[in-house]
Amino acid sequence: MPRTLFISIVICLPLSLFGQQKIISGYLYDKSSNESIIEGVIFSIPSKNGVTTNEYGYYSLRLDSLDSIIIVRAYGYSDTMISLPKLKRGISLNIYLKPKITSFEEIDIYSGKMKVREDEMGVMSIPMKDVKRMPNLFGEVDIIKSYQMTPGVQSGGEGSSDYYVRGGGAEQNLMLLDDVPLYNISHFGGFFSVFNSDIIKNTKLIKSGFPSQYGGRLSSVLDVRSKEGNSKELIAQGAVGLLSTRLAVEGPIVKNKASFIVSGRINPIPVFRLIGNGLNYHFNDLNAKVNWDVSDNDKLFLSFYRGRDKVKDKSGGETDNTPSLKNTLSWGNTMVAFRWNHKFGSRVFSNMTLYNTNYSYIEEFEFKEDTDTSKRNIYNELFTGVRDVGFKYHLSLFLNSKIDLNLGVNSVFHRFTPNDIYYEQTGSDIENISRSNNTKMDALENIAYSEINIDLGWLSVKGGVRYSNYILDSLTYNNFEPRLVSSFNFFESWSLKYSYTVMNQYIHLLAYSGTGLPSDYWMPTNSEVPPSKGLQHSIGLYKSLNKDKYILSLEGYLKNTNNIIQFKPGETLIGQVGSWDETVEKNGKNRSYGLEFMAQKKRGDLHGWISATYSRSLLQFDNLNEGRVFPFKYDRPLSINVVAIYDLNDNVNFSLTWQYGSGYPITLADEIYIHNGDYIFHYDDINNTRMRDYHRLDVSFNHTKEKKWGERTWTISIFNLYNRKNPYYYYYEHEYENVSDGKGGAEAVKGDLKLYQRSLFNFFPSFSYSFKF
Amino acid sequence: MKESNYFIILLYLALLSCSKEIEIDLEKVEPRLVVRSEITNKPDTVAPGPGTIFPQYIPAKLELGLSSSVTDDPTENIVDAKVVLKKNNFVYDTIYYNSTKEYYELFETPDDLPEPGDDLSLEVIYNNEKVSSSAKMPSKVDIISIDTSIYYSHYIEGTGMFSEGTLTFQDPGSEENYYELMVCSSGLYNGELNPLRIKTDETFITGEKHYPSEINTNQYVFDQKSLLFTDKTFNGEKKSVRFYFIIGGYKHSNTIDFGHKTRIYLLRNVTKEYYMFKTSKRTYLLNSGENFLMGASEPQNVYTNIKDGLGSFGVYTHDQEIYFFPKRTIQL
Repeated sequence: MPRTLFISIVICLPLSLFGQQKIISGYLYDKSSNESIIEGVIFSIPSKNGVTTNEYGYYSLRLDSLDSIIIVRAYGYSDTMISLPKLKRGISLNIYLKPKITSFEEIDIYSGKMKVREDEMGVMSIPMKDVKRMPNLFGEVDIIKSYQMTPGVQSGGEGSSDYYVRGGGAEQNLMLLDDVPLYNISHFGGFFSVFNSDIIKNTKLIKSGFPSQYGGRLSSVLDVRSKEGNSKELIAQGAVGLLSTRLAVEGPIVKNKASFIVSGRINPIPVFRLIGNGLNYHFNDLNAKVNWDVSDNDKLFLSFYRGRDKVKDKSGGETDNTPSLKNTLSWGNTMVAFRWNHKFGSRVFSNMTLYNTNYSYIEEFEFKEDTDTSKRNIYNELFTGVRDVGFKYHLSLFLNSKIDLNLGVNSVFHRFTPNDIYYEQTGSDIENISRSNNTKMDALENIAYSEINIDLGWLSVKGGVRYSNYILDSLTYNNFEPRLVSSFNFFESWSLKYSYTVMNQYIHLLAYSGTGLPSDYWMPTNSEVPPSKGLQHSIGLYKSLNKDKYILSLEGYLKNTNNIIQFKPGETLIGQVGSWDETVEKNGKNRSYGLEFMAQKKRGDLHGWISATYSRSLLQFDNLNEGRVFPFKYDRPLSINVVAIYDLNDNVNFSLTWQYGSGYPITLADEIYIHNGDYIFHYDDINNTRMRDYHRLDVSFNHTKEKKWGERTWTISIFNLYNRKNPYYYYYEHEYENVSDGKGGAEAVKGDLKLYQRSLFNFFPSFSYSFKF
Repeated sequence: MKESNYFIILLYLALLSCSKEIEIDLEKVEPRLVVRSEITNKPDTVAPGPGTIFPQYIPAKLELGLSSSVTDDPTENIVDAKVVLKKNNFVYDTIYYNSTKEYYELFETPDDLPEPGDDLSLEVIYNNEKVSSSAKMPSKVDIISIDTSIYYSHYIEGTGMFSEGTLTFQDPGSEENYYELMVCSSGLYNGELNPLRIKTDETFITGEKHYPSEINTNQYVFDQKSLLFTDKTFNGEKKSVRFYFIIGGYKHSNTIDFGHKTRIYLLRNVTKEYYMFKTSKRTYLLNSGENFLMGASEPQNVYTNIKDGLGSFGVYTHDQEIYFFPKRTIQL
């Protein structure tokens, strides 16, 4: 009863608050391309009312009768002042901003609402312009690597695009491309992500205080929005780098009405084969989007993404008499989404999304022998993946200047394929066998949510509830997830915030914790493996200086997660004939906590941030480590990041990043014994040792020049400038000494056992050339 | 030099990872006793029949070692420990190292060997350190039949020749059973069994993580000397297991000479702890050779049922059949 009452209040109370106000609403656009602008600010000075455009560039602003001028600003655009006509009760006004090359100039006019007073916390949004200017490895611009430089986000190892937020596993990150989940975001063994910088318009990483519209993952939401395409002129841009070459084309289909953007990437150089280790590795991806402004009230979008990585490892078969072994791994996502934005008057905005997203991972093994005495063929294929077909409907109601309401429903049909196996063997001296194992399972997830945002100036509260329902066969789970973000704003530029979030995750990821190629198996919640549940408290103190030029923040969090799973030691799904849930340890608990400090300089020729984080992430499983708590693989107690970007002029900029982190924990054997001639290492605790501390300085230089045919940019990045040998993993190995055998020769004698550190990338310069015309 | 060559050189520099020795303060561990022990029942006395000979006695023995810190050398044999063996809660004997046999002999005479259902416990005292373990002898599962008719119908794999056999038994339905199947060469002269390399195509065995195959490891020539499996897919049923075992090396000639051979086929019904020790050790050995690029596995310890120590107190019942195969020459 109390729960029902609460929901009723949340939904119904605001409806009574519709007032007789004057409203302007519409979209904010880039004047040069008609691309909508996200997170632009529209405000009126007299009334100090202001709003931010949503993820579709839409705004709805309530004005007082005295308001006759509004000011519009957005990162990378010139500020614009607009005189309003005599206001009727509501008018539609699309606003066009002119891009400028340099960053924000100093301005005296201020919106009256500082960034720190917004009702969100744990949110980072790095402008794409800055992402492109930050140092990179192999010349690959990567938003994930940029977010790894922010507090609370750890990387999955040297050069990896995996990321871990506030002590949670990689599977706990919801990664959205145009509002559609992607299940794997790694290309090239994880060295860079699937997000192609040429098509990204805006990104946002949320670590706490999750809005009710987001759910299904426990630790973070990465919301990536792609460009819609230039509806004024045809533009091409691209880049040539060491690992990938990319090309993007965008332009109008119907001028100022409909546009498209297509962008693709391939790796033309077979790098691993060239360095002679037998691997043949290729990847490619393609993004495409069509956008149509049907009317002032309706916009349609069609998005497509497909990415694929493929690794082949072949050995033997050089002659007719030698057997051949071939291993092939391939993985990737395919996504297609249709969206419809509709305005109901000036106060209500809606978005409907229909989508299909598919992740698959295939391992193939082939053994062939064709000799005079024996003929054998063995083929094994493992297929694992998940396909979602989903529907989302979201409504934003701008009730008055103080209250917004968000409502929505989602429904997702999941088709899981945990581990389909096909095995076939034929031969002259072995039995012919053919067998297959079909593991497909269908599940349905239904969601409804409601959220109210109340902004009283000194206090803002965002409160909501998300209801989720999961059905697999006769099994049903129902969960309510309360959400709260409150902000107490004082002394004009200070803010104290608290958030409380409950999240449920109905899908689980199994991955080998080794350093190898991706091996992601997405598994459904079932009767043996219940949904993971996460609860996070977060509290933060924020200070704005010089009108948001500088922002200081200190955030603390405490997060408890239960029902997490991982492979049992030594387990694998390869060749597994039983149920997959027999291979996992269940009912794991994760407790993580931390304190994150961040000082940002948001404007000026020199801008960037410094952050320091103290955090811990600890795991406990009844059947692992004898039930004792052990650190998460990416537990990093201390990390420090420095990011500095300096614009020398419109054409030249420099950037620098430095990161320091405590060493990641590893399981290192501390004991050895012999059993029937075999040497066996034994460890006392999981992750009982820490590798050496990690630190690295990267620098980058970008030079852009206008040419007759367009614009070109040379980027020079130096990774690991001072050549720090950072640990990638440790291993034991006996050293061998050559000892005289007494007959004039020498023999290798096993010596002491020593511990070695493998480092991946040392001092490494890279170059890329990008163009736009 | 072409521009692309510069790229390749740069890439090579980047990917050429480096290794260096590092010093790390690993805490020295206290050495622990490592137990290697097997106890089984007395074999049935069977009348000699066509192709069979007297059953092979399997001595009940215990060997001891000592672990060390990883940077030190572990000890393989400890000879000055004291072993107290209990049977059904009564002290059976206090045992010292038998320097003639080079192990601790747990039961000196076959008639004292435990029967199915007997409780056994072990206590080892060495330098004021004590480790212990206990187990119950599982029920005995008899071999119903062994098809040896195609012993000479070998196949060649690499440099080895394999023969085939099929063993049939009745699984007791009332309990979980853990099995080990072996084929051994004759140990009549030294009292030791010499297990032969063995393989199978049975999916309920090959699907297990500890089974070395072309699929789950690069080391598919792993020297597997027994098949380990459970009855989870055939509980209470009559079961036949087909297997292949090595019978000699292939020398690339047109004829193959099979000498006189005695082969001992054993079906062991082992304790769960013995099964866990053996399978975890096998998985450990398989994974320890994994290439890091293709996905290193989770670190794992080898299971132990020795309290305060390491290794295994292995207890099982077994049934065996011994076959004699006369010499024969086969033209290829």
